Amino acid sequence: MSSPEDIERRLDVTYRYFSHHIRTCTSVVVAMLDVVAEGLTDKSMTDMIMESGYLLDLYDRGMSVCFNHVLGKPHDIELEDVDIALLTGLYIKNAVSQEGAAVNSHLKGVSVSCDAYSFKSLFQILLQEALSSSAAELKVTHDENKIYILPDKGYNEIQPIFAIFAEIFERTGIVMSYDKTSIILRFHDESINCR
Amino acid sequence: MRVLIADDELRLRKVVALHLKKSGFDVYEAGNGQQAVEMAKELVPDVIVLDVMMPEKTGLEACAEIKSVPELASIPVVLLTAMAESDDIKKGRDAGADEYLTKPFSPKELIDIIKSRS
Repeated sequence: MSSPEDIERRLDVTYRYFSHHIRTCTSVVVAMLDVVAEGLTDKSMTDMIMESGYLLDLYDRGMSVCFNHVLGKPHDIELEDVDIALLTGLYIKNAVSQEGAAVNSHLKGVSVSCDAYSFKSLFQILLQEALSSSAAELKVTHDENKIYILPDKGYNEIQPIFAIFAEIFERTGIVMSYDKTSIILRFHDESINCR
Repeated sequence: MRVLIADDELRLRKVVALHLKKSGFDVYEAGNGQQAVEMAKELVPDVIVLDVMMPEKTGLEACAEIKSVPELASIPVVLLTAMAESDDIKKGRDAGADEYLTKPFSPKELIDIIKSRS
């Protein structure tokens, strides 16, 4: 059982992380709409608005998952199969700017059994975090029962929110480990399928 | 007039740079706090715009380092931040920032601040 001080600290970590990203994405939308209003629009600008909108939704979902976890709200876990390649493809299509680093996914045929709502949100946020640390390439790959998220230059910093993500993954037996070079998600053998 | 803008979020950096260029500024971009300090020393810009939460060096650390260099100390620094609480604003002032703009912000507001500081 967490102490009130510990809960307060973890709520602060959650608030600061998500507030930063939500406000940053909102800033892109606001600033870009000013440009569009002046008629100076091209596809790359409208793409940026769409990407920021997608990330806003993602961060809002992630924030909800983390706050509920930190506050200890009851949570019915219903395991579902999630196609990781499809999820990564969705993230690439909707959130990855053409101008930045590329995401290379080597996850074809890999699916995992997990709490789909929280997993989908947090996994994509981890991809976004890794992408922002990547200079040219973010590699997402797997080996046996592990999924690796590997930015080419390693992580700029270990985000304190990662510890809360790890606790949430742990609820369904997924072990998240991380250091300055990689994030690894390890699944129970029966929870990951590689066709 | 030369403006150095540092933000690790590529999209925000690009759109702010676009607005500044449209207003006639020469814009230089940095992707983290360390790069911002190095570019500031090399370029000696007229105004520096720093995001607070950046890797390598935060905007607060970069601001304090820039302000500690005699040749750069008088350059106005605008902090762009997602942290809206008054304690955070105080930290920005303590680091030597001249202005503090909370995200989300209007580009016009930033341009007005830069013009008033130059």
